[in-house]
Amino acid sequence: MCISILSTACYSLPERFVRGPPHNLQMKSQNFQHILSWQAGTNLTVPIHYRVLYTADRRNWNTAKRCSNITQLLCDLTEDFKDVDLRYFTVVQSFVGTEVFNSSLLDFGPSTETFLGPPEVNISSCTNCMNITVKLPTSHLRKNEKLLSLIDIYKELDYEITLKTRDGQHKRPREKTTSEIFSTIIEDLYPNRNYCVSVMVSASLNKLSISSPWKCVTAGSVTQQDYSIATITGAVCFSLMVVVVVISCMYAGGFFLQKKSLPHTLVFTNTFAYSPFTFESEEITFVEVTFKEVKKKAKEHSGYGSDEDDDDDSGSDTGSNHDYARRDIFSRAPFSSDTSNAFLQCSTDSTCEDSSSQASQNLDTDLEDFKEEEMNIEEGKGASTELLNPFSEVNCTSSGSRNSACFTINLKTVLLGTSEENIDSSTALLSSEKDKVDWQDSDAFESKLLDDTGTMQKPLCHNISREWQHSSGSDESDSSDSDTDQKTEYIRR
Amino acid sequence: MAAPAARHPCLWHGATLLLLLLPALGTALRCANLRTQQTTFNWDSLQLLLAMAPRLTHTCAQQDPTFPFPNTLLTIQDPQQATAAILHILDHLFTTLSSENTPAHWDAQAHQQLLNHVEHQIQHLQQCLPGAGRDSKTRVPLTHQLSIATYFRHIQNFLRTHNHSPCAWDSVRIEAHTCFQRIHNLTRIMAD
Repeated sequence: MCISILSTACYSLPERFVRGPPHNLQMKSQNFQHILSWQAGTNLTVPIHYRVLYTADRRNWNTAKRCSNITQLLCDLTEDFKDVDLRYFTVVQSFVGTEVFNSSLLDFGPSTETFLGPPEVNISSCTNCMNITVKLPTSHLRKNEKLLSLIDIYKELDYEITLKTRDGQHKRPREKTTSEIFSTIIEDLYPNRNYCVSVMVSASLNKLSISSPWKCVTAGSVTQQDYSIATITGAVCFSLMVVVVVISCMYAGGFFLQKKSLPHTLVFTNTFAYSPFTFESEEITFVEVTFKEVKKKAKEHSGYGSDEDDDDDSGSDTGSNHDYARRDIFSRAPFSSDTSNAFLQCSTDSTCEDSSSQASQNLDTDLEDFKEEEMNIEEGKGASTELLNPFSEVNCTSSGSRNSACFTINLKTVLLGTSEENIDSSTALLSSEKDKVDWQDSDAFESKLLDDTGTMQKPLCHNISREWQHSSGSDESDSSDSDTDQKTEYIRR
Repeated sequence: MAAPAARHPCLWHGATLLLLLLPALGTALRCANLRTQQTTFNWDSLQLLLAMAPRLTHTCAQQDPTFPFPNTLLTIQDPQQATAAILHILDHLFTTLSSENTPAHWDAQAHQQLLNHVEHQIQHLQQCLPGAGRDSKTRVPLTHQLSIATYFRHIQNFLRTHNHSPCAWDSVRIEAHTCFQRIHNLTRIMAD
């Protein structure tokens, strides 16, 4: 019984107090950082010290720089394995009291047994493709105090890209690289599909590698955005083109920015100018009434403005201006500024000796210019029209003479047209409601003129002139300078 | 009958020419990318060597093997000479590892795979280097040939001296591992 007790104690002692060399040596190496680890062979409570030795030729042993007297069960041998092509043999010694235990030999070749990676991977999406940028991991190997790269060590590395989709994984062909940072583009990808990428690097004699973590991106997402932008841009451009074409056609067709059309009565009159029918007409006396001043509102009604005149054809400019002169007279009749008045020539049957006597008081300063401009017009155009100066001392006695100052005007028989047409045409001007509408936009005097079926008499002239004199200045918006310019501009026509 | 008879000789000549050229064409195709193929072989052989002979768990008595590897081989710059040198090294390595006294703790399957792998590579190099077979010494200079032979003779003497013990074979395994690293350096000089 005592023997059994002693034997049990003897068997248990080794299990409790184990003395032995370190064992289970393992080298964990990644990117040339070598960490040796082991298990203690002694479980005594006394402190145990370790020393790591290494050799390349198994003759000359060296002590690891950081592991000469350590108590931990691992040792960093990165700075000791400087020649990557050699195979190193390491041994771990444990010092238990005065006893020294040696571990088994561990051989290790850095260049063929260190794990390479993981590389740093960045991916970006492009149109039906993916751009992958790979950065090689840094090595821990130093030469002359300088960190060497994996390219410095291996000169050339292989990299392999693995694509993962919902359909599975696909390893792309292995490629070579001699750069620390390199990029590659994977094309022919399905748009709007998620792709994950993992990259591993290896050497020709070291296929031990650690792959990079999966990185995912959706391919072709930029494409969809580009398509939408392109579609919108194209639609906008097409719409603009259609609008431009429509506007051009409308402008060519004269739907806008056109000359103010003639009043219906005058248009109708023009058509009758070429009518095969002849109409008996009263004796016609050619009349030209000119205004001293071109007003803005008159321009609008007559349809002649500075811009419009520029747009008129040159060919019709003369005739139209001629007509404009006449028409403008009637349309602008009530318009007058504070400084100028309109003149009205009365019919031969009535005298208008004082028709504008009141108006003349305000027109003295303008009269000279007005006469001069009228003379220029006559010389320039050679028109047969003649401006009758109300201030001239011509009696209203002669009749049928074109030079007579006073005459009677039958509005219903007033002919509007070119000078040549007036002589030949025998069309009568028919007053109509429509004409009234066209003229009603003008001052009240205009409508009054048309409505007056009778001949214009002297009293009416007086009224007219008075009305003109007292025509509201509110209609006038132009300054005196502009009025002068307008007048000059008008006369030059 | 004259026209068909005229066509037949042409066909025969073409077929004959094709048959003569086929081996050369096949050889050319097989020898394409020889350096890449050799690189792959080197790595695969290392893995098989590791699988065949795992590290010994027990401590071996400190040995002092001296295997003088001819470092002059590492100065070869000619691709043809580099290829021939690789061929000679593999040939001697195959002879050493195919010994009947290999240790029992080695993995038999991995051992056989390694031997097959090395034999296949030797034949491949022989086909790509016409006239550089096992008995041909024209490609490699004599000095290099002698140094390679001396190196492996030392290994075989070491084994015999230590009675082909597991620890002796473990040293040989380690030396074979170093051999493949030196073959890898020569592979970089090979023509692509």
